[in-house]
Amino acid sequence: MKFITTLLLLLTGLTFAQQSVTLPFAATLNNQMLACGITFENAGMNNTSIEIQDMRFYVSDIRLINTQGEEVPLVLDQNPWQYQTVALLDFEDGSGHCAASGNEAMNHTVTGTIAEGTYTGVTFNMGVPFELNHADAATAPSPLNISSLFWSWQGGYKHARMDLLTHGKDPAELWAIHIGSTGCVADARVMAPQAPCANPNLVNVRLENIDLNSSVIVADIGALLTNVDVSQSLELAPPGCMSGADDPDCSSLFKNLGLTDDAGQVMFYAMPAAALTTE
Amino acid sequence: MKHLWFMGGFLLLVLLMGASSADDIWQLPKGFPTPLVPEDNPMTKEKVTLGRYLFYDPKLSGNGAQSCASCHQQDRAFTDGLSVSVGSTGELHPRNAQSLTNVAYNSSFTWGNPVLTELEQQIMVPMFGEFPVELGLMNKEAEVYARFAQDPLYQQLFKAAYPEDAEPVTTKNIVNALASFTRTLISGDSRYDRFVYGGDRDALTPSEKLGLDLFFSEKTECHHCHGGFNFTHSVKHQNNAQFIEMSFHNTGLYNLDAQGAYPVGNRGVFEITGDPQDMGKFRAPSLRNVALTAPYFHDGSAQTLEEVIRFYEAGGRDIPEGEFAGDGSTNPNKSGFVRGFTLTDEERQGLINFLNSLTDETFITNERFSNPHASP
Repeated sequence: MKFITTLLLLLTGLTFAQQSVTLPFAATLNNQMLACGITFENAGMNNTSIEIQDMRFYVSDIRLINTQGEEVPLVLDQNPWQYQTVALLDFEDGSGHCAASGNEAMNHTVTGTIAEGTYTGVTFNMGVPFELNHADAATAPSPLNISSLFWSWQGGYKHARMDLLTHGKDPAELWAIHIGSTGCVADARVMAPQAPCANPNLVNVRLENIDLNSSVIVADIGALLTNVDVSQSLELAPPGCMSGADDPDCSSLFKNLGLTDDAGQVMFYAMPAAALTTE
Repeated sequence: MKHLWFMGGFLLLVLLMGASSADDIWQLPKGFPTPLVPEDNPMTKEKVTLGRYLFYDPKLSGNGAQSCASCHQQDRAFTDGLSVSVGSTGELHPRNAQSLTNVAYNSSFTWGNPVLTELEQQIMVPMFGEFPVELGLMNKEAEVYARFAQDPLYQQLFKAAYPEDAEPVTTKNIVNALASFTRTLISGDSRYDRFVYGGDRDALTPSEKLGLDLFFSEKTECHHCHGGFNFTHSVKHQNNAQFIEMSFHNTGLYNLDAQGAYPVGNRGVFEITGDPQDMGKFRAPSLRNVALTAPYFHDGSAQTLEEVIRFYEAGGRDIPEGEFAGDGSTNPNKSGFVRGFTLTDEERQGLINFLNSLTDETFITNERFSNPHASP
């Protein structure tokens, strides 16, 4: 497994030296790597067994934190997974139940360049920033052109699509987790939103005092589901959390994402790559 | 000199041709302003034609079971006659299919969404929406678009509409063509129009004229939300581009908790904004062809025009028991114009007759809007 590759690029003239950065991500449940077609036990407060049906999220506005505590923007490589300041992380391969909304391609890393320095932390948002969130999805560049990730009825993208198939009942049921902005209305209500949405629902993540060379940024779905009952849906339809401000299925999820109080999110943390079970 | 005259004549001819081609596309009725069209999707005959073929083609659904026309049928003024619509996979939509009459003038789309301000955005909802599934194209673009790319008829239609594009079967091009066709669905040849704009003072019966007077009276207040040439105040066009009107109203249909709650999934603008003041607020739809678009309201919960009028007479709906029990007339969020009024039987019949006079037979039989795939 490959972690951070640090490569010094001495640029010509008076420009500062740049280094290239690769940030590896993982999606886990109870320290196991999530993958399509596999049943995982003990998800949520009722210890429900689940499969994933989708597992993708956008990250944006990524900054590394140097030893002086300064945040320095990571300039993303521009490719089909990364556009401007946004990258898509994709942990589903379209197999099994993931065929419903997924596809074969996966992406577990964010790559970019940054001014040379010593970095001991990272901060980013899970989600698509407002400036890009309301562009025309029919013409948007990759990775903002994926129909299962734009939110037709509300405008904007699903910042995260983490759909579960829960075996709490028989037959198994969809328990969808679609995190996105809500309350997106312009002042005058005559145009697509110009003012930021009332609930942007961008999840701010700040991981400090970590060794970026040996760490993986973990999206822990188990932690996300703390105090969440995925064995049933409290609201009849649609099942799960579609980010509705008053959806009871969202309340604990939003707390765990740090969206409802100042306690911060618990879903993302860094851990030594060696500690992750890969198979 | 002669040469210049010839040139001038030629230029004039070109100009006239240009003008007549724009008129051909809109064929605007008298009294109707020119619709606004997004700059990046100008109207062309070729896009309108392609859009018409796509609109009526079940190939434009994930499982090939439905087309746009399944829920938007011309003889019902592009509605489907159901309380709530059924998607291509059999899923029930929470809402009643809206008429496409004069949607070119809509300042917002669907029943209650201030964010959906262009037809091009709205069309993505039935195409890609998942809750509920309508056409069911999410994640199936490659498979569905290949059906068109491989069809010789569509190869021609796409090439004509998008001559610059090497591979024209794209989401953007499909959406733009559908929007172009849908914008041409303009209705303005009802007996009411002949009476008002056509100068035919005998086009309406005495009962219909009585209904017209009531409709525009302070007694019923109908016209406050359903006024103007399109019988809705929520319109945009070239004459009001600076002051686009978009409004949503709570009419007192529900009051589940005595604090104004509407049923989950059908709470109107609230579901977009999360603002309690937006609870139960929906767009006032155009009433043109309203006699053809039953059942009524966002959830199809009224079956007839008489039921609708009696609802406004009562100033809201009191549901005594069951899942949706509650007195809508005391909904704290209710529009100030829904206060209730009394009508004689003759007056009520007059209002119903007047609403029937808004039916445009030309519109529902116009070949330009009909199914081009129909076998002879």
